[in-house]
Amino acid sequence: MNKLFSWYKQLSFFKKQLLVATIVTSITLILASILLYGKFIADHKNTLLENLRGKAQLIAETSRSALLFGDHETANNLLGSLRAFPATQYALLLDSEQQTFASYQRSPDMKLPGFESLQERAQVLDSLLHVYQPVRMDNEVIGYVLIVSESNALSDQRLNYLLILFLVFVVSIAVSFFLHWRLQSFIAAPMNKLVELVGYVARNRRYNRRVRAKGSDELGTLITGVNSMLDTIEQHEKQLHAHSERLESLVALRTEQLFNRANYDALTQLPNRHLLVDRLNHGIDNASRENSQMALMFLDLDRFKYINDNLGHSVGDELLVKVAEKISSVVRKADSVCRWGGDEFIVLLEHLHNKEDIIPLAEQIIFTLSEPIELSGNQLHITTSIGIARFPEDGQDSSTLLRHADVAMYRAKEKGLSQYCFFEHDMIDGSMERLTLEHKLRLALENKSFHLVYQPQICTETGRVCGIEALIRWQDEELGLLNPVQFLPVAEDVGLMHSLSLWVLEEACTQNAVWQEQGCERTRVAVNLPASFIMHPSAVEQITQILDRTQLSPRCLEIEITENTFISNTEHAIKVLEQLRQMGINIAVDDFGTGYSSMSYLRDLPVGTLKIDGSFVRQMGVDTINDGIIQSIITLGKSLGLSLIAECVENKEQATQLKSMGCDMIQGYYFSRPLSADDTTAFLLARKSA
Amino acid sequence: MLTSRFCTHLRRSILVMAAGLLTLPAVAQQDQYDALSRLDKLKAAYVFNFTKFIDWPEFDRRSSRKIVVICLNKHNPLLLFLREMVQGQTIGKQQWAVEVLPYDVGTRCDLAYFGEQARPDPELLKEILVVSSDIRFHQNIATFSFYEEGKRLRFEVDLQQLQQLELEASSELLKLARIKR
Repeated sequence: MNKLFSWYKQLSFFKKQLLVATIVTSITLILASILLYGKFIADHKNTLLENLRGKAQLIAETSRSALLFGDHETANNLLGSLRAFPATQYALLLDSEQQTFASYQRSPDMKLPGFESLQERAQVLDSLLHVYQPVRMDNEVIGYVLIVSESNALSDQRLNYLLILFLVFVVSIAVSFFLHWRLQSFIAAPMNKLVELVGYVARNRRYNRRVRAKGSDELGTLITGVNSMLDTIEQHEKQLHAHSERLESLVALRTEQLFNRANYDALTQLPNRHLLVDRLNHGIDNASRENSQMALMFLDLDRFKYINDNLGHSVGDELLVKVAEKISSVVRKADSVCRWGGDEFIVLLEHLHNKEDIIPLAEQIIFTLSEPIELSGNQLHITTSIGIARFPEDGQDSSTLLRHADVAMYRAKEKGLSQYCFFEHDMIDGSMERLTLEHKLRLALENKSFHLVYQPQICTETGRVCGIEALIRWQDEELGLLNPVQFLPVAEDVGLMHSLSLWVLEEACTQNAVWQEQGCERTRVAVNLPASFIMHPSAVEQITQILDRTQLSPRCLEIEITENTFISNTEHAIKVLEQLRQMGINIAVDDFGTGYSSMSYLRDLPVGTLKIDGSFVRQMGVDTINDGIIQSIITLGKSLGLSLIAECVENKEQATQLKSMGCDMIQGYYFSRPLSADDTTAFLLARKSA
Repeated sequence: MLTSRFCTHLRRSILVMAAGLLTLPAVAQQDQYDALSRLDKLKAAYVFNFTKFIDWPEFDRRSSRKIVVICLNKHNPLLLFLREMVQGQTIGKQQWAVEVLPYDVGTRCDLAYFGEQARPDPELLKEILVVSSDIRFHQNIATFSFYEEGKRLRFEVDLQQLQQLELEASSELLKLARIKR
């Protein structure tokens, strides 16, 4: 049943319709055939009976006189005439008392039935047709005629009728099937075209074909509707296609942009670290396959942070672009230059033969970048440090090479400005030291493990203490006493400088207030603050808060800044320093004479003191030009109404010469090394009593 | 054998037909009937049957017909027997009654049955169908004449007489009869 149902479901609509029509026709024909058969049989039976009855009637009519006159012979002759009808099996002529008057029987062995068994005038008993007919004479029944005929004719006729009806049925079904097939083919032709159209659309996703609607019937309406729908879809598809093309072009553009964004630095248009790693891996594969060498240069711009902080990010960005152009102009076409991030660049050198091939390029890069760069009216000097790692000597994979080049770059920085350095495996230990230092630095800040030492500043005229510079020190249990030159750059790199500066400022102010409470001579405490602190939006507010907390007079605080503080965003720096000076805080320019900025700021900035860099002081008496510079600085400061202080004064000659040059204050080991807070207290008290 | 069966049958037929007439009459009449021979009774029945197969005219000279009259000599012992036999019987589609009357001058007879000894005037029988009890008598006037053939009662018909009487007999009757040549 399920198979039949599955088979039916797989048929086409046309075949289903044809099947249903054929089945309905078959059922109708079967019913009609049954009815016709029944009617035929009944009619034939009636015909046979009527025929038999007619014979009986005839016998009855013609046998009356024989009955009345007792003429058996004539009666027998009459019945014998039925011999001409083979179906007639026997016949009886009975008198009025139903006694046999005459008889006829086809076969002598045939048993004649009793007349009593007849219930009707015509009936079928034992497959034999029985008809009996009263013999009447003037309304008087004078006898009876009984004729019995076999029903083989009826059976034969039944078979004939069955055969005829079967043939009619088969022919009718065939004709019906053929007519249905042809008519439905004709009627369903538009439907088939419609189905074909739908299949075409489904297969090809094309909507350009149509079916012509010939009629206005439901099918015509359907075809018109489908055509209209296809018109709409085709129009929408065209619009969609156009829209899709626009989108595709936009996607292609966006993809290209995303690819560029993902692989190139937006500022310098150089490959970024992602693309570099790809190229590096590819280069490693090539070098391994070709058994060649390659090298990785890790460049970090020296002092870029100062420039970026002081001149602004826009200038810093322009500087990075210029640097990128310069590096790209120097390297070979086969080499790759990428911006690793911030002020770090990487140059990938491939197809090298020996280490010596790298050195000229490194020197060329350093030389090119050391040339002044003109930006926004400022002539900037920038240098770079280069760390170099080679494949396969310094690493077998990209991450190792990058890490080792970075380590080598830090080692180059340690060597000074504009240096390059090849990686050596013992540098890994130094790199680990830096990581350790960073970690300990964070812990020290949290635990306040730093301490300050104080170096007095002596007035050359009076010999009195006119100021004390607070200097930070870090005593680590494992690393021992660390010089600020060792850890302050690290603090700057890891972003701890601001917090560290706040701690120093508060500690120094607190200590100065303590000294004053202890009866020491009132003096200023000088604190070095980096440019980043001054440029911080809350710098003035935080300094004010510290002074409030420590109850220290602003006049007892001096802030030392470097010339680099003014390089970037001079206006903001002037604004901050002006606010500080108005509070009473003295501003000193530290390391004066070593910067690159214009001297014109001295005229505009609210500074009160110039601090001559120790490098000049240490060369006093050795180089006349150096002495001239010192004298020029002092003369310049004096002419601007500024006080001057010289640091790193270590002997009497230096002190005497500086005094003779007009320097107002002297700081250095000649008078005192940096002292602890307690020793400074003692020093101050001693100086006071003296 | 056939004769025996025929006789049995005839006897039964006669008895059946006469049952209603003969069961209730007087004992005297019953005795008289018993005196009749089987053959006479059979002839009486045949005479009655003859009336059934004759196409009697609708009208005669005197009146419209509603009855067929059978006449017998008043001395004929079958007179009463036949009268009782036809009592209540009708013939033909018109269901005419049958009446048995003594033959006499002036009697309107349609059929007259004469025994062997009767010598009727032929002039008086010109419009009457005459049945003779014996073929040997009444040859010139009888239309139907009985005779025996192998102990079987048969009858002969004179078609000429029948034609002269302007009567028609049923072919059924004629097929049983011997036609007079």
